[in-house]
Amino acid sequence: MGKIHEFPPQECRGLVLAVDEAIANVIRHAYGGDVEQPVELTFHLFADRLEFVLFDRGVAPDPARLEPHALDAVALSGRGTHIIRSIMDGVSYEKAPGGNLLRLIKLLPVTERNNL
Amino acid sequence: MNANVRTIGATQIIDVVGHIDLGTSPAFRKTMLDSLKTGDRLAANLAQVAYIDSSGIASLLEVLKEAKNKKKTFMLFGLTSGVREVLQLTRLTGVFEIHESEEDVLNAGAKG
Repeated sequence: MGKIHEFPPQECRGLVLAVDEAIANVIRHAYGGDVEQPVELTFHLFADRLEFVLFDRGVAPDPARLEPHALDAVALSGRGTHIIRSIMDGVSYEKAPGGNLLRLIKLLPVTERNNL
Repeated sequence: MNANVRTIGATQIIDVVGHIDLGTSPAFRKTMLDSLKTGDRLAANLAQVAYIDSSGIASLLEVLKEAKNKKKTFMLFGLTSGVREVLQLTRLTGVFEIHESEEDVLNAGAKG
């Protein structure tokens, strides 16, 4: 989807990485490492942005973990969230019926927005 | 992902091929930590790694910490643009000893 909407290759790789990190966080934290549990990923295209929405039925995340934070130079954890926030323009969490919704937002390049 | 270890002089080189992610990083980590037990200089060849995520980065950091604790050397070389970008995103390019090539890794050892 990044390629179709004229994101440069580096940003396309970033989008893949950010979504991958978000799914990995759900597996680690919401499902306690159980890779057999379902994670639903839906993709939405708006005039100005892409949205990737993850739904899981696991444990709600600790809000503090989702907030931006300074990186300890050699900390082993917390880098996934940092990567997601570095790549995406917006990250939001909401409680949904039966589970959790994590929304990752990426604004479209300006030229692409003008074409829509 | 495959990770094979070979030895050149006093340096162990781990040639890694494939993606390093949540599924493959435990095996990658174990291979590196096992190698570190038997040698003083370890270098990960990442030229065939197009993709690494934060679990792979955490594995590299863990090996780096272990190497420092044991007063050993851990290096990376052959970084692809994908790996370099993730190290930059996580602000770790200055934390690791990074070389361009295997030759540079071996020369660094000769100088040291």
